[in-house]
Amino acid sequence: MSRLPRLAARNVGRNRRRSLITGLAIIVCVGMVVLVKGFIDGVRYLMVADVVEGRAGALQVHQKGFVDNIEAVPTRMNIPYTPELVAKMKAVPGVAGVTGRLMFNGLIGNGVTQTMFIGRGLDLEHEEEACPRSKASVKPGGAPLLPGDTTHVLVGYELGESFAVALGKTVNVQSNSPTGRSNSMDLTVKGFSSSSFPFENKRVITVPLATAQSLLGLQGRVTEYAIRVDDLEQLEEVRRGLQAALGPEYEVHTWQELNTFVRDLINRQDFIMGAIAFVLFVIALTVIGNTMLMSVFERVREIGTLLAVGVRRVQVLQLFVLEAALLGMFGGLAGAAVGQLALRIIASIGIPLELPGTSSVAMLRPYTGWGYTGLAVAVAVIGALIASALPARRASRLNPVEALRNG
Amino acid sequence: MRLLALLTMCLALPALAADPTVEELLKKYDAIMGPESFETETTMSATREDGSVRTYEMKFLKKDADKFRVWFGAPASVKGQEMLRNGESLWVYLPNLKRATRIASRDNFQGGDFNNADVLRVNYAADYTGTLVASDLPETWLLQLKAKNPDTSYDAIKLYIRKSDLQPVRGQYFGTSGQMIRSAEFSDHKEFEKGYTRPARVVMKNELVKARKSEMVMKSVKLNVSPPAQRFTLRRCSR
Repeated sequence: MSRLPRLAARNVGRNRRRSLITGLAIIVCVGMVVLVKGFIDGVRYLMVADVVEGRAGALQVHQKGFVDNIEAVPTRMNIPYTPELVAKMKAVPGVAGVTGRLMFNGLIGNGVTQTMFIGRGLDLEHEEEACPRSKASVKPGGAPLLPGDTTHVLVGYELGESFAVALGKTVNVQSNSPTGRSNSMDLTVKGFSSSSFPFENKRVITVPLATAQSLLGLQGRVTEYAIRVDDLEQLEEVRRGLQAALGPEYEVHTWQELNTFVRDLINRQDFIMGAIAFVLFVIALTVIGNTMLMSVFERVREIGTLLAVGVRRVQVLQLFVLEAALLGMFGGLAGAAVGQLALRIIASIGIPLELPGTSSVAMLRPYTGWGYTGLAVAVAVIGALIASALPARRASRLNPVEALRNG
Repeated sequence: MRLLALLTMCLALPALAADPTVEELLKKYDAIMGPESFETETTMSATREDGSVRTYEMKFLKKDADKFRVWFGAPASVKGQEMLRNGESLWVYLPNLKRATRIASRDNFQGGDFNNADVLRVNYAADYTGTLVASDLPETWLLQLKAKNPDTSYDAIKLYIRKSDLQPVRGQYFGTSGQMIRSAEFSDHKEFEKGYTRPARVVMKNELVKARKSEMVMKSVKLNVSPPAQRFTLRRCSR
């Protein structure tokens, strides 16, 4: 029995050309799968980072019923923004940073015309704790908001363009308190923000939290908390921990639940990835199956000899299966190595990429973990075993007398 | 000496009578702008910032302090639409959907410069406290109103009231920040029914977008129509 693997290895080595072609096919397939997966994971990472680090935060806390509620005035569902609540959230294991935000809407005007906006009131001192990249990138000439800038505003650059508003000029921002009180303020444009989401360029203005609170008459209150977690893999546990700590008056949602668009996009990509991997593996299996069948035909005499000297049929079967497994393993490992190497080289250079649904260019650095690579190798080996099953069975069924005569 | 005192009294009396209290002025304003029960045919011309003007024709019906119904007759895009206020709830009924949807009192009235509360909620005596201050318009009282609660649509109002007949002539409406959001001119004061005079024309200017204004003109006002309360329910919309 222990001789069989050695024999199988020697057989693979002896049929150099055939082994090379089969191995190459497996290398190409596994390498491609790893490469494609690397790209898709890279894009996914960019999108997740954009949402989690740049906009939503990993988790958000609202008043109970906020997300499902589509009818009421959103600012009516405001919650207190107190150091005690923040401390309570920070005490939950896995929470890395907490900030409060006031999201509202209203009309922005330049004295001649008015248009709708979505406003973000950000606690500028703590925003980066929860969303490190949230400081909306400001177009050259402007400057980011500072905590003391209570009479300043950042305007989405396309909104600003459509308005013909210049830097340093004032715009009028009008909104209503949750109970319906009209209020308006003149704010100085400190900069034009540009985001990777076109919607934000066209509709969003950013003001310090205090400004939003006084505009809406909501001193000391916010509509949401954004939370950063230590490890995105532990998201669900942190969510449960927060929910337990805050109680039933509040609801905690993950970024996936709040950004269904991004979640769906990622799911779609995963599906496409699965389809590509499946096709590549089918190709690899066909190649292995074909090689094994050819080798059975070419080695009829050899099989006959083996059977004639007393090798059991089951041992012949094992021999062929082992040969396929060896091919699958070496090909898979080499393919994985080639794929990972290619990924690392590409990642070190980086690919400028325009993300779907966005207008800015991000640097794509494809990457995939060893887990998926290992899986690809394992699938290659198992696939090789399956593909070799029929040819091996055929070889083991040969009649030694016929085989010796015909071979 | 007694003669002098008598004389002083005689001189002082008309002066006292001419100084109405804030409550009286507010009650009078509410009685003029929103009588207990009335029916009116009104047109509203809304001038947008691009210079276009849209003219709406409507019929109002009011009962008590908090029951309102509005029917729109023109333009064709809103024909058949209705608005309903009953208590604190406001609805707009859309005939092509055969559905009523809730609206907020702070929303613009048909996209003009009045908000729904301006039109459907006239109850200053209940919503605001006032002080009389020196007026910068001759022959008027200036009422400086401050909201009693955070539910009113404006934080403060300056109301100019004509001394001769206590009719409103001008209003200025302010947000919490102190910025003037709207201003109104009341004119064409007309005696619609015996003993009932009100401004037939109200021009509401948008102070944030100067090119925008809405003008409401009342063609007829009938008082004391006392419609049954059932007319102010959602089920009666479109009927």
